[in-house]
Amino acid sequence: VKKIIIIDDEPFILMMIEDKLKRAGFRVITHRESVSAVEKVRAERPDLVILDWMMPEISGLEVCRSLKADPELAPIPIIMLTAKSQEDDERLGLSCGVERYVVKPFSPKVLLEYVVDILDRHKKET
Amino acid sequence: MKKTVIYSLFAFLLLFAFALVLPVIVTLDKASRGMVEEMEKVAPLSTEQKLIFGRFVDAARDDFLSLSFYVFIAVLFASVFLGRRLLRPVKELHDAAASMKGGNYGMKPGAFGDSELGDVAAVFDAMAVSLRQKTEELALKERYVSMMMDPLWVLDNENIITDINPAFTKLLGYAREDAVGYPVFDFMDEVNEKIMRKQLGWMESGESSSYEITLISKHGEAIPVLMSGAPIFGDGGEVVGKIGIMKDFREELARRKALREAGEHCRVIMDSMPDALIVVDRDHNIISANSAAEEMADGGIAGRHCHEIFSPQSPGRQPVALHDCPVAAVFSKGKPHRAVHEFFDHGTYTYKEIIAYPIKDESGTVRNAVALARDVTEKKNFEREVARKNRELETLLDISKTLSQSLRAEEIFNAVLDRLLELTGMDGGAIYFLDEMGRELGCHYSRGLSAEYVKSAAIFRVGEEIPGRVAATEQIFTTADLAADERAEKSVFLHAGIRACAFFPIRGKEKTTGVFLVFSFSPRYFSPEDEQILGSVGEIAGMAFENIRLYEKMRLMYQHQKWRKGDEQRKLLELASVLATKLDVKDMLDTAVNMIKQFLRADFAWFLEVDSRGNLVLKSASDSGIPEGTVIYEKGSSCIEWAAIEGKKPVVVPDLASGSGVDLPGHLAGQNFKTACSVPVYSGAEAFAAISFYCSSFRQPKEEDIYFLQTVANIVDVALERARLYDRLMIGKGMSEAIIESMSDGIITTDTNGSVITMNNAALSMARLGQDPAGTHVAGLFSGSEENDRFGLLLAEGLKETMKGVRLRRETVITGAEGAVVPIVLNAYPARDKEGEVASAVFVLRDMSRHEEVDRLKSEFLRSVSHEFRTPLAAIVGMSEMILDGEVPEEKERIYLETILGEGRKLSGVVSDLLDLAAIEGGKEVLRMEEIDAGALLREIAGEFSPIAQKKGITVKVSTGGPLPVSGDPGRLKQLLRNLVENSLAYSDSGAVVDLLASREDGLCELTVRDTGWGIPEDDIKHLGEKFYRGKNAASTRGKGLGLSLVKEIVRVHCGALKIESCKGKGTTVRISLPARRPGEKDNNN
Repeated sequence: VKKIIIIDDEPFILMMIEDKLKRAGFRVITHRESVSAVEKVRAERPDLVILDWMMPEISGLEVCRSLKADPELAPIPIIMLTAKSQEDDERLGLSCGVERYVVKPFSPKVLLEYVVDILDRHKKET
Repeated sequence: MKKTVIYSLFAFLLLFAFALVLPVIVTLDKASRGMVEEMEKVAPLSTEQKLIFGRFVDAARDDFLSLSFYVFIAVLFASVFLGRRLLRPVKELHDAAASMKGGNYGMKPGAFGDSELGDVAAVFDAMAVSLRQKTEELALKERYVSMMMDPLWVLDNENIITDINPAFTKLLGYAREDAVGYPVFDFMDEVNEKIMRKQLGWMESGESSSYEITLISKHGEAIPVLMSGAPIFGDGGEVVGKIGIMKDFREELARRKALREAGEHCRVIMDSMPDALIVVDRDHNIISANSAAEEMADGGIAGRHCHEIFSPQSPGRQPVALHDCPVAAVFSKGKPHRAVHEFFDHGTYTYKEIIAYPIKDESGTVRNAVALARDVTEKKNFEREVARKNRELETLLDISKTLSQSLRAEEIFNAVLDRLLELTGMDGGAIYFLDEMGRELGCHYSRGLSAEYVKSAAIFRVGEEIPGRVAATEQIFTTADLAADERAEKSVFLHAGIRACAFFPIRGKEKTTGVFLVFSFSPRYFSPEDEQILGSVGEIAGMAFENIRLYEKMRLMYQHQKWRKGDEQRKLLELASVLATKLDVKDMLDTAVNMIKQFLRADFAWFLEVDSRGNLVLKSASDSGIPEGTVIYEKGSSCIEWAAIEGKKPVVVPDLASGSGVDLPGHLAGQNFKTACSVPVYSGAEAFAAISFYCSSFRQPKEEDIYFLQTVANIVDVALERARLYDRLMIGKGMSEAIIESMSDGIITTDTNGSVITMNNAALSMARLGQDPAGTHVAGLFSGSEENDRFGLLLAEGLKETMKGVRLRRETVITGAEGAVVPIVLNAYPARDKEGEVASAVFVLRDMSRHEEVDRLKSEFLRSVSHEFRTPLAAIVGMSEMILDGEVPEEKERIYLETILGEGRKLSGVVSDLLDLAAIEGGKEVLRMEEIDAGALLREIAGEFSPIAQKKGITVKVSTGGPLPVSGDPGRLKQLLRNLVENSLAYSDSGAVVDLLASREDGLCELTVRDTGWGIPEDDIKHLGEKFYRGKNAASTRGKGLGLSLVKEIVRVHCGALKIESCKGKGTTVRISLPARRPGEKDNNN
């Protein structure tokens, strides 16, 4: 069973994604603190990280950079959730090694598709 | 008589006519009858013929008779006419006689021809003429007498005056009646009476006489007259009277006196003449002589021969030829004559100039001659001397000219040597100069001598050899032939083949400086004149030599002067530059005063200024205990400073002690100064101060000292002016500096080399420089990063462009604080001076972060808004989708729906906030103003937020002092308070306290929201209230960045004021002052 960590400060979003992914059979861990997000990832070693960009204290982008900077954690694919829609934002996000960029509001169904797709691809690569 | 003559004439004529007519008639009648008888004899005549013939004879007779009658009438008229004509002279004579009898002698009878009557008329005429002449003569004589200038009297034999003329009256004052009839002796005193009587006695014996006598005038005045007296003879030759003609003798006496005096005067003049003067007759015998001539002849001059005096024969004296005698020439030619006689007497020549003038009589014959002898020996000698000197001078002038043409010794002496040889015609020469010590002579220039010889005879000790002796004795040495001269025995000059030679000293003003040599290879005689000329050449050369030395000395002195000038200029420059760096007046004056004291080696110097009361006040002194501002001289004191200021010119007193009239003030009295000098210091045209120096020793300050002092005064004036100007400028500068400093744009100014002149605070902070980098190059201002290095290059480029007068604009980035990239727009401008030349460069650095920040805020806002929108939407959309898909378990469905609802509300809240803000900002919002109680308002809000607060663990307290009315839109005010409380809660941790306060002050209602939360970082405070701005804390909170913007706008439309105080870590206080009443509304509460 693939383990997925969702990092977001919005409890409703966490709840919604958690419910969706759990139904799809994934093991889901939620985390609301951006500050301790990297530690959590390191501890959990998930197969995928769903990360919200707009978080207080440390932004999702910073967390992403930290993860990619860690050689052990770098391979973990990341899906970035964001309300940002500008192109350069997207570019910025992608340049940080984000696998997928999902703009809010999003369809949980589509998100699930992305997750499955990424994990499949990732599985093939490894 | 006339009638008698005419009648007799008529009778005579009538008789004559009858005697003539009667015979004619008788004859005629007889003839006619004879003729008839004859004719009868020839042929008898008819009666008729006889009758005719008779008739004819009768007619002839009648005609003859009538003719005779006419002749008779004519004779009658002719006799009357002739009679009258014969009688006319007689009548004229008669008339003339009658006229003459009447005293008219002017009648002149007509001419009567040669007849007896004519003779009578002629005699008569002559008589009349003679008589007329006599009468006229007598009248004339009478007039002469009356017109005679000389007075006269006529005396009878009794010596009684019988007549006088008007001149007599004029001279003596007596009228005719006063004199005529009086004895002549009444007009003189007794003494003169005796003389008169004696003279009259002679006249009585028939002799004339002329004598001087004094008469007494009517006014009692004694009048001397020259009387010419003569007897008057009667017809029989007896003396009948005397006539005396007087001549006024007063003038004559005066003239005689003057003449006598003139004679004496002339004599005195003549005697006082130094020249001998004699008057001689034609035989050259002396008639008279003046005292000089007497002296010359040793007395007894009269009667001697002029030669004896003027050219006495004596042994050894050459006689003067007679034809040379000017006196003889005067007598022979009748014109003045002049001659100079030369005498050779006992070895000396003397000269006499003799001038003779003719004395002529009335006929023009030269009777006598005046001869004047003058000793002209001196003059003559002088003339000779002048002539000689002239010749000499011509030679010397030539040499002098050569000497004066240059100041280079070599050039001069070579030229002089050449010139001298040319003039004297000698074969060669040399110049020897004495050494400095005056011991040895060295040959410096030579002509006509072989180099070898010159080498062997180059140096002579003074006193040895001929040149040495000449130098020692300063006497010229000449010889016609050196070989034959015993003085030249063993002389080295003999070896050179020199024969005639002259050594003469080159004499300076005080001493001999060398020896000149000219020589020829053949014997030659040097005349005394030659020697003299050579001597003069020596003197001139000596003078020139000294001149050259003097010139050298002067050149050195000039160099010294130049040096001093340079030193002075250096000092002045130093002063000027020192003063240029000073702006403190006292400091400047101290510097100037001390420099004067030091440079002019004075003992004391000070600067006194005229204060507002007209006193002279000390501003600076070289060294004295006198405090600045001390009044040194009261107004109007007599001191050099006042004199300098009032006279506007330097005042020098070389000797203060001896009656200079200068008062030294008490401060200087004890110093015993001897010399003082003061110059005025000007401000524009007005002298307002004086700089003076004092010396303890007597000294005449030199012109350059005064000049120096004046220059210092000028420099000080300029410096003072500059200081004053600086003060004024500083005010202006302060303002512009304040502006520049307050600008957020960085401004850097540099000179043309790029050295930084000024940099404002903004620029300093951009370059992250702590201290003023003035002087460093602009390109090196920014460093520490690649961007900054690039920026430095850009600044250098900007400098280059501006120096070309071109502006430059570039957008770039620099590294700001903490490595932040700061976008910068660089503008470089050339700054020009008043001549239009680029004098400096101005760099303006605009920090575009602020502009970019606005852009960023806009995006941030959009991002924020989109976040605020998209996050709730994400929940709504996602959850709705899941519910619809039936993926949500029942027990969770409600939570999902509640979330959807809540997020939907949040969305609408954001939308309304934005709309509100837009409405208020756009001025479209109309406030619904009403009076509300501030306390109630606060309590309502507190109640609203208490659940959230409780949840966060924050206490919300409300404190209001009674009802507090405030005018406003309740909805907006609530929105305002909500935003503030929301912020307080958002930026506070658990345990914090939020106080809501309401108070009233000065008609204002103050609402305060105070929390003990995180506080706002300092950097953010200034941005608070700006739209879209979210502080540093914002990242950890959710917010739109619109809250305070809204607050600010609401306060603004309520005409209130917003004040935010915050301290990081301690909390924030927001005060809002609102008018208790709406503007224009009356305060009913009071």
